[in-house]
Amino acid sequence: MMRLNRLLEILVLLIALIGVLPLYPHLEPLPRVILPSAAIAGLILQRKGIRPPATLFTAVSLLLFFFYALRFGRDNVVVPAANLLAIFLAVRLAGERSNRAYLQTCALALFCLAASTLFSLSPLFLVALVLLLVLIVSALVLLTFHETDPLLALSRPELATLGKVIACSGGASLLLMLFFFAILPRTQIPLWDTMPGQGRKASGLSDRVQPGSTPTIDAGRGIVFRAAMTPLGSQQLYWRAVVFNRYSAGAWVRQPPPPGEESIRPRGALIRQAIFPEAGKLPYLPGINVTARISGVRSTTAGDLVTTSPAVTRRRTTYEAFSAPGDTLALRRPIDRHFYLRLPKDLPPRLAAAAAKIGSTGKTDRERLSLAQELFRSLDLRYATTNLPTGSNSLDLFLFDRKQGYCEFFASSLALIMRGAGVPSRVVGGYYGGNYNELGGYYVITDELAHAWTEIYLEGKGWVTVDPSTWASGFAELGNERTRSLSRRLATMADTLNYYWELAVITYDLERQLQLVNRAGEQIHRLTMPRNLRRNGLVAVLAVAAVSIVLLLARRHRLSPEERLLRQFIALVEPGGEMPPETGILDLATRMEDPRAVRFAKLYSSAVYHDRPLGRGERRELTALLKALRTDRLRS
Amino acid sequence: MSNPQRDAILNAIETVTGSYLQGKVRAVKLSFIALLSGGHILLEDIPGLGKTTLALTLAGILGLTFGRIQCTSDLLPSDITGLSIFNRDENRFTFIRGPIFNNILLADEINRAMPKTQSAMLEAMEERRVTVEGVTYQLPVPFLVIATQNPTEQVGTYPLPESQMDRFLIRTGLGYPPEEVEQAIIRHGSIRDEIREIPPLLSAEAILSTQRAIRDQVYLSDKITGYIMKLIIATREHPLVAAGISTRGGINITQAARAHAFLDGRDYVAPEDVLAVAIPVGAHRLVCRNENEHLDKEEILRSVLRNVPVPLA
Repeated sequence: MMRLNRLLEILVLLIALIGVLPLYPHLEPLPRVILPSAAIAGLILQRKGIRPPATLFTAVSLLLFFFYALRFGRDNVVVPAANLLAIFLAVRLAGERSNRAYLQTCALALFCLAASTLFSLSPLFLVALVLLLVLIVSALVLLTFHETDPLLALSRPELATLGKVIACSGGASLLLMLFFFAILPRTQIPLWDTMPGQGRKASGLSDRVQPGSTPTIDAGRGIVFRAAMTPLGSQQLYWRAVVFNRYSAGAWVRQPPPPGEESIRPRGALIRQAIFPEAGKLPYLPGINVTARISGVRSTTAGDLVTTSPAVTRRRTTYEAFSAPGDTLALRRPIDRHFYLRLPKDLPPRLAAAAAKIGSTGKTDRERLSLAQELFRSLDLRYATTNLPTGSNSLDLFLFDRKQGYCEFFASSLALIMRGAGVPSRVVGGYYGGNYNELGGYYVITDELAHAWTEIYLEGKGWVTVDPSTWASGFAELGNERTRSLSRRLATMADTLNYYWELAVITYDLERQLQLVNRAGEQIHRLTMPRNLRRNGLVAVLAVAAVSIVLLLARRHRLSPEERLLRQFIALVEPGGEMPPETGILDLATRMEDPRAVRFAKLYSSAVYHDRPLGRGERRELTALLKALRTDRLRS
Repeated sequence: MSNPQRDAILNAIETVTGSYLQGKVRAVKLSFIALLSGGHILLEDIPGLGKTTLALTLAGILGLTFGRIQCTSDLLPSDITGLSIFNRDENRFTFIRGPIFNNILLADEINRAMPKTQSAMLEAMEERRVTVEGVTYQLPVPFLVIATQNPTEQVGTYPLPESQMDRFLIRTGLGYPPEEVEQAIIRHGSIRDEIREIPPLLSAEAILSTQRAIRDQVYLSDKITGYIMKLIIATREHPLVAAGISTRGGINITQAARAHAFLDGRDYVAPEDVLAVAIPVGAHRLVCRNENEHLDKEEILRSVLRNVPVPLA
C-alpha cells in the first residue's frame, strides 16, 4: 500500500527538480543556494509536522520580488524574471503541502523550464519537457484522487491500473506535442541572444589577420559549423571563407577585389555540403575549396569567390555549398597585378631583403615560389601556438630568431615575401580539417581549426593554393594529435546528439526531416538488420497509433450525452468490461442492489425507450447519481 | 406510474401466488400476460403439478365463467363447440352451447384429441367465434384458453402440428415448486375446495379496459421493434433451425412485452420486457431441422438472445 499524499509529495518534488535543472546553470548565486536548501527545509518541516505560517512565506516572496523588481530594466528583463521564478519555486517547496500548492509548484516548474529556453536551446530541454509532461499528468491524476479523499491509499494492482491510465494520457500528450511541433513556429536561437548587450564570443576566424598581436593563442573548441557530406581526404579539407588582399599597419585586411576580377566556377562532379553554422559574428560562408556555388540562403559572392550573407549573423540558418576539391582558382581574364602587389613602406627589414633576393634570383613566378619554399624549409620553422613573437617586427622575429609560429605567421610571411618578389599573392582565412562524425555523416568544425593560408597567382593557371604551414615541422603531428585523442573522439560522439537535435528540432524543416530519416535508415541498415523491416515497422506503429487516436477522438466526439452517461454507468457496474449482450440497463441496475442505480436506470431508460432526448434536469440528476455511485465505489 | 388497474391486477397476482398457488409465480404471471395480451397459453408438463388448479384459480379470482374439456381420442368437435338439438316442444332445433362458450377454457391433455377436434378448437381460439350449421356465434370476451399437454406420453397421442403451436401466445412448463413449498403443499393437501370459494378480485370489464390501456398507453420504441426484428431474423438464420419465429410470433412477442412492461409499472417497453417474454412466447414456434428434433428449443432461443446485443442508447 502506498499513501497517496506521500506519492504526490515525491512526484511534485521530482517535477520541481526536473523543471529547474535546465535553468539552474543560468541562475544567479542567491537562487542557486536557496533552491536546494528550501527543498530540504520543506522536507524536514514536513517530517516533523511543523507548519510555518503562510504569511511568513508571502512576506519572503514579496521581499524577494521587490529585490528583483528593482533590477528590472530595458536591457535586463530575462535574468531577474528567471531568478524570480526560481525563488518562487523555492518558496513553494518550503511551504505548505496542499493541492493548491502542488498545482502551483507544477506550474512554476513548467515556467522555469520555459525560461531556460531563453538562455539556451539544448537537447536537455526536450528530455526535461518529456519527463515533466509525463510527471505532471501523473500528478494531476493523483491530485484528482487526493482531492476526493486525502487519506486514500493505493494497493499495488490499483497503482498498476493508474499507471496504465497515466501512460495512455502521457503518450497521447506526447503525440500531441509532436503534432504541434510540426505545425507551430519556433525560434532557432535562444531569444535572450537577440537582445542588446548579449552575444556570443568571437569564433577563431576573425576579420583581419594580424600575427604578432598576442604571445599565445587559444581558440577554444567551440563549434563553428557542421557540414553534412561524404568524407574527403585530409589534404582537401580547406574550408575557404575569406580572402585578405591588403596588408597595412601589420595586419592583413579585406578590401573589395578589383572590379574586373572574375573567377571561373568549377563544373562537373561537385561535392555537396549541407552546412549548419552556429550563429556567429562574421558574415562569411565557408565551403570546401573551390566552391562553385552556394544556395539555400540569400548571399552575395565577390569576384574572388568569397560569399557573404548578413543572415548568418542574425539567426541560425543553413545553406548548401557545392565544391570541386582542388587547389587552383582559374580566372576569366588576367588579374590587376598592381592591386595584389601593393606593399606598405615599412616592411620588416630581413623579410624585405629575403623577398628582394628571391625576386632577383627567380626568373618566373613559379621559380620564385619554389625559392620561397626552399627558404622556409631551410629556416627549419616549427608550428606552435605558444611563445609567439610579438610587436611590429614580429614576422622578422618569427622567420629568423624564434622560428616558431602558427598559420597566420606562415601565411603572412609567405604572402609578403611573394609580393616583395613581384608575385601577386593574398592571404586566405578559413578552416582546415574537421572531425568526421561517422554516425551522423558530417564534419564538425571547431574554432581551433581556424586556419590561414595563401593563394599565389601563377600566370596561365590562376590563383594556386599554397599552405606554407605544411612546410613547418610539427604541423602534420598537430592534426593527427587533434583527431586521435580519446577525449576528442568521445566529444565527437556526444556531438552527434547535438547535431541531430539542431537538425531535427531547432532548424526543423519537413523536407530535411525526410532526408534525415532516410540517412538514419541507411545507417541502421549498415549497422544491423534489413532496413525495410525496421522502417516499415516504425511506420506501421506510427500509423496505427495515429489512426487509433483519430478513431478514438472521433468516437468520443460522436457520442451523444446519453451514450456518454451510459458508458460511464456501465464502466461503474462492470469495471473494465463490456456488459453481456443480453443484459438491459434495468437488469444491470437491479443486480447492483443499489436504489440509486435503479433510479438511474429507470430515468435513463424512460427517456431512451420513449425515443426522446434527456432533459437538462434529467441529465443533471443522472450525473449526480453517477457521481454518488462512483464515490461509494471508491470508498468501498 | 401509479395506475389503479395495474394495482388491482398486481394485487390479484399476489393473492393467487401467495395464498393458493405457491411456487408458481412465473406461470401465474405468464398467464396474466397471456390474458392481458388477448392470447392463449399452453402448459406443457407432467400431470399432477397443478395445471388444472392454476386454471381453476385464475377463473375464480377473475370472476369469469369457466369451462373444461378433457380431451380424449373420441372427443368430437361438437363436444367442444356445442350442437343443435331438436326441441320437440318448440318444433325446431335449438343450439346447445359447448364448453368453449366460457371466458376461461381449460383444454386438458389437448394432444390426446384427434387432429380434427384439435383444429376445430384452435380455429375457434383464433377467430373467437364458432359457426355451427350456418350460424355464427361470438365467443365471450375476455377469452382465454389454457391448454395442457403431457410431453412424455407417446402412445395414443396426436402431437400438435407446428402450425397450430403457433396459435398459442405462450407455452410454458410449471416445473416442480421449491422443496419447502412443495412440502407445505403436501402437508396441506389439495386446495380444490378452497378454490371454489375464492372471492373474485377482477371483473371482465376491468380486464377489457386494462387490455385497452396496454394497447394505447404503453409506448413501443423503434429501438425495441428493431431489437425484436433482429431476434426474429437471428432465429431464422440459426443453423439448427429450419423455420424461425413467424411474423405472428413477432406480433405476439411485442404484445406480451407490452403487457410485461405494464405489469412492471412502466409506460414504455424496455429490452428487459422482451427478454422476459421471448422464451415462453418464441421457443415453441421454432421448427428444428429433422436431425435436430431432439434439441431443446428453449436452449436454442436462449443462445440467440445471448448473441443479439440489447439496444442501450
